[in-house]
Amino acid sequence: MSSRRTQPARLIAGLLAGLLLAILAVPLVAQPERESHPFYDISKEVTLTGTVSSVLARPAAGMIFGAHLMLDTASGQVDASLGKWALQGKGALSLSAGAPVELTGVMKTMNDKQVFIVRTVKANGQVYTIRNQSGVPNSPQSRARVSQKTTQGGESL
Amino acid sequence: MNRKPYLSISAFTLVCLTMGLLTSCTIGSKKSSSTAPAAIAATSPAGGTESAAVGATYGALSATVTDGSGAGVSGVSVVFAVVNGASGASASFATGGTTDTETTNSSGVATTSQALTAGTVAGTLTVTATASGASIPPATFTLTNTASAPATLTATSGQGQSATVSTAFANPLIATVTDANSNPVQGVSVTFTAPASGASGTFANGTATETDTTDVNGNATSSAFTANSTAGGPYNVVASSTGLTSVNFAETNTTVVVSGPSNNYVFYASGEEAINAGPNYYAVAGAVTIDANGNILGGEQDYNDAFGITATDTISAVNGALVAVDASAGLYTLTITTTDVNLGTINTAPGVEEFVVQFVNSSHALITQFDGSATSSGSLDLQTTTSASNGSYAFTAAGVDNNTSGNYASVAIGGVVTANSGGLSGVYDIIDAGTGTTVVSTGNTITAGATLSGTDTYGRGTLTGSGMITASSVFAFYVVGPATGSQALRIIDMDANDVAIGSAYGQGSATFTNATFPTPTAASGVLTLLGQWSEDYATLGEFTADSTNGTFSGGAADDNELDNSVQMEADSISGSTYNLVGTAANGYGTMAITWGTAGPNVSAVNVYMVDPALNINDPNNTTSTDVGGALLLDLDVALPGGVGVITPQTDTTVADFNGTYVAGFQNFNEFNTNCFACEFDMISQGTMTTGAALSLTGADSDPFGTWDGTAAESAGDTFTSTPLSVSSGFYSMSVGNNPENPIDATINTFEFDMDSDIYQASATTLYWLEIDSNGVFLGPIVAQGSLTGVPLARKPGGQTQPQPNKNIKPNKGLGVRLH
Repeated sequence: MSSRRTQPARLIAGLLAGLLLAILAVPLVAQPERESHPFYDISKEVTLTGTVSSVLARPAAGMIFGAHLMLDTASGQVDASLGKWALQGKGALSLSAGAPVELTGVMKTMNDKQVFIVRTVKANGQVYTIRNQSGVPNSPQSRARVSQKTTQGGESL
Repeated sequence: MNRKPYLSISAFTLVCLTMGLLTSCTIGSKKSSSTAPAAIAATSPAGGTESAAVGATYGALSATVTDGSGAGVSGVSVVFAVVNGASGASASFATGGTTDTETTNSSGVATTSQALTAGTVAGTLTVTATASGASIPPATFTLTNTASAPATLTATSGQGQSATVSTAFANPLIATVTDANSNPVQGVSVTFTAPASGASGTFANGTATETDTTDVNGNATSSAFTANSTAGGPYNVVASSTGLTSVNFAETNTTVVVSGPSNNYVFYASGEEAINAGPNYYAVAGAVTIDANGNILGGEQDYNDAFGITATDTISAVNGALVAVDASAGLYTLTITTTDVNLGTINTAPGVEEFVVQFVNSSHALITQFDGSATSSGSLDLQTTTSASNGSYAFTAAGVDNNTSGNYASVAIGGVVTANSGGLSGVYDIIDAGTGTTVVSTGNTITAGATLSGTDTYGRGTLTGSGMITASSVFAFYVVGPATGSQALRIIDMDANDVAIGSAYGQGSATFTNATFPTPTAASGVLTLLGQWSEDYATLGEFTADSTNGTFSGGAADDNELDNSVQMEADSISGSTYNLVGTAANGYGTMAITWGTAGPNVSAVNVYMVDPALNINDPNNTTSTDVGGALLLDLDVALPGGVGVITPQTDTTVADFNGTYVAGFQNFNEFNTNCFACEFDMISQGTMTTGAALSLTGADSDPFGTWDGTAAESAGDTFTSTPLSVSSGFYSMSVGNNPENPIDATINTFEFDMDSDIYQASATTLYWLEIDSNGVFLGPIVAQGSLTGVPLARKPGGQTQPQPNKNIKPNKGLGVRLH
């Protein structure tokens, strides 16, 4: 059996094709505007509260890499990025539709879409730290390590 | 004495009448009979069998004579006669003779009155009891002379043998236990013990000692005895048994027959392990001695995942081999046996690792672990010296810190240091996401008193007390070469709480300035960055330096930050700045990358210059045009763990990208929902025909099942495309091109399209990067040179062949299948 898995079109794929047809031997440009670094600016961190609409183990078309949480808030639905490891491994975040949650993170525009980069999730009386203060994903090993250290503490990664 | 065999009827009648009994008389419990003997039977001991140790006395023998009604017949003369056994077993009566004649009593029983003594020979004999004057078959007693107490232990067989190291001796060891009369003694425990160290061997139980029990012949026979990896001897395997004098079996372990010189090869790799509840980050570095036939003669290895496996292991000759899969293409497998039983274990025995090796030339190869326990990318290089030189080195290393706050997160270091007679000084930078946030610290000073050890026969040494990553971190290093001039070292952090792996390259006597960037003879370069674990990303681009202003007067780069969803292709990096003047050390510099389009987080990169005569990718290949350049450390807080290189750009002519190449990459992807950012690795060999086609065939290691959910290692995988030359030094392979030309990959029967770009440093060194949003890879494409001098395929015999990796799947019959 064989199959062909065509990767989702890259952000610039369509533009690139057009450019190559029109202007040969020109470096590929015309990328959509993206926010400048730092990727995660903790000074812009905000807290969102709402209820879980759905949890996506892998991104839908157009979403950024990793798992996502669709959050219903008073001002509408928010695409919240949980990163690659939040739902993976021991001590993974476990949420179901309708659950009330409190998210801490930074709202960013990526791929022309608003996405909430989640750093912490407060749910079920626990705080799950999804990313570090620089926006770097916390690994399942980190959860295992910290859960050993803070079994009595009530906070888990 | 002679007696009448039995009474006459008249006499018997007279006796009865005298007693007033007219019709019958009783003798004992049975009636006496007036009839003639009809049978004689051995009645004591029961069954007529008895045993006695040689020289001991048997119990009395009794035979009963009966008449036709079964009544005992008294007064019958019975002759007991010894008949020697076939083995020579004998016995004799007290008189020294072999017969004893007795008369049946009133119950018809005749019992020997003379003691019967067993002879000196063990075995079975018989004694017959014959009723005199009666034509009836004799009764038979079966007697067994048994051996007496064990008296002697003898080395009977298996002594004086020779076997090649790591192979079984032809014959087992047999020790025999006998008594004082040389009779074999059965059921005696005999323990065989081989030397605990040095030249020795092991039994089937895997240890140097084994206890066996003697059989009927007195023989205790060992299981197969296998020479260990140390040549030498004769040495004694001691056979011992309680109360007996031990005996020795003198054995010899012979060296492997080497038909040519042996060489050391240094390997290192990093990636993700599937064992130890992985995926975890891991790194491995080591050195092995390989003879001209591909036999592994020994080695050592450092393995660290900072998550429970941190071990420096000996590599033995047992089952080790460099085996040619396709010698003409330079494709081999390398199997090594370590002393850490936690390693391997998936498709290989505990402690056994397997790598697939693709030689670029006789002194350099790309490798990836290929046994299902882990996957990684790295290299294997001929070791041309085992001594580390004094002088200044540029270095970088990347890995994972699991120390400070318990975050198992990426860390990377880089700097410029000076080795001086066992001491180390210098400056280093670090970016560490293992501390709760991402911490960047530059211009740190190596802790005073840092110590470099000397190197052993495998070119391995250690660095302690440097203060890099943590105060307690200990680094191991392996010297690669070249034999003269500045050297390359592989370095690995062996702290149980953090791991990092990388290289150090000598800087020689060069004075580095902005005018010599990236080399004194090349103003252009190709730069790479690869980060894994916390952030999976890669950056690849080209630039031309303007030394007057310390800027890039031109340049473009790709940037694929998988976790940050940044996929930037051929974006301008013109205007980026660099500085090597007035910095912390000679050859220590900074770089600020600015992009034509906002998005990429790659910005702050530090630079550590390498001797312009030293080849970063292939250290022993100093005649290449690809010498010199720099090491890079990404210091952006959003991208911890990224390191890379600058290779001078000396040839961007499309027509020169032509010939036979070796290519590899390290890929991180989300193809498998259950394993985000999991890794697979590829190495391959093939051709690039200018303006026509790139065609590669290779092997892929995918222990996490990123392709289809099933872990596999496959060979014969193909990668083809028609790279589109877009601009000088830049090629595009994409579904966005017209006609579309992504890499058409067939991996383990599955087909993938991968958008990828190539940047050309020279005709012999290029790099490629995957630019998809659900996968990223980076790797080299390097011209394949002469393979003369690569060890031959290991020949059958001499050593045990490695076991096939049963998990390797054929690939549509397209190409070779490993093993």
